[in-house]
Amino acid sequence: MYNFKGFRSLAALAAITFIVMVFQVTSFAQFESTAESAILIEAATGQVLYEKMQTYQCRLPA
Amino acid sequence: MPPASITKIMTLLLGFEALEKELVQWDDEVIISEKAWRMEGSKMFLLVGGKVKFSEIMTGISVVSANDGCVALAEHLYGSEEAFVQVMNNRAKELGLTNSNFLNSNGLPAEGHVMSARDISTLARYLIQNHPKILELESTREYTYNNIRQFNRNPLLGVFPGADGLKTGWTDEAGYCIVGTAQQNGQRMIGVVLKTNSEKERSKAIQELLNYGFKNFKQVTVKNAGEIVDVIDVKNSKTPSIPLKVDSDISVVIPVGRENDLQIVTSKNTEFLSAPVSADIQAGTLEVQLDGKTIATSTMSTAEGAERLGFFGIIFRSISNFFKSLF
Repeated sequence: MYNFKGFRSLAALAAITFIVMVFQVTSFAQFESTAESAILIEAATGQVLYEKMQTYQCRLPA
Repeated sequence: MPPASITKIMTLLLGFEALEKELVQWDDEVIISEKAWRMEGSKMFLLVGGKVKFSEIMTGISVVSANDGCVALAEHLYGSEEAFVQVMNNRAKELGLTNSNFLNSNGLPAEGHVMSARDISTLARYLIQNHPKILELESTREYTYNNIRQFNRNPLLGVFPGADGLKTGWTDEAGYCIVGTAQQNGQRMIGVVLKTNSEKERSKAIQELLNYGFKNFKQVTVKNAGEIVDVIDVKNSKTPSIPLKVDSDISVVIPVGRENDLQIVTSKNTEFLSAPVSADIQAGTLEVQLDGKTIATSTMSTAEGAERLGFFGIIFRSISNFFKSLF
């Protein structure tokens, strides 16, 4: 006999995991998709941990 | 990119530096010009001809992003906003801000008034490290001047754990911008988000950016200054080799769980030294690498000195070395 109850529980767990993963990916991508330029540094060392470069050049005077 | 009011972190830096050089005192009175009074956008509602304490001006710029306060500060310190802007640009060059150009003291729209996200993060870090009082001012939630109560627009304050700064900005051209900072478990992150479409997007983006840093990266102290990391041979010395110490503390920030993947590579300037050698002679470099990429460096120096052997000692050492080489 198949254990349908166990199968259903597993399927439900997989679905929840999938939804959580999709939500996390969407959430994580927010700062990448919405900001035209962004950077994250650690203050003590000044190390750059993330950088999205601007999409156009600065117009500096010659 | 246009930085809007984020410009004011440079204005505030020059304010702090003027205080440090005693060019101005917190209690000095600043006379408000008509130009300052006429400033548009966010302001603290200074009155023309009024006398306002320098401390009030600094607070007004920090908490309510006072455009009128910036011009008042500029004129008080350097006579005119134009002269102040020249100082802003000179200071930017000194700090290595290669993609910044200032045309005014407050970030109101002006063609060619620009900063890159990287420059903003560099400037914010410098300001926080050298004038930590900025965090006290910038984390103030509300400010009342001239009987007008206004609130700090920083969406991180009171919401994001450990948030205590730093500055928001908005103009049509710049969009919604922020440089945000927070400290959690002794670690401080600084994030910059430029040109988002709404206050809500800006708030969400900066929180996610800072969260990304706190959740995924960890600061690791690799070596402490003075720690022995290598040895170097010394010719004609009573001791054949002396220890080398690292000259500065080495801390790196790495992805969580990668501590065991760090590699320490030392390289000496020369194969051996000749006695006499004194302590603290620079003798090489230590590099910390992750995935083959150098992420931190420090010089190495002799931890102790080495005396030169006497004439007979050198003869004896030479004979001894000769016989050792035979076996």
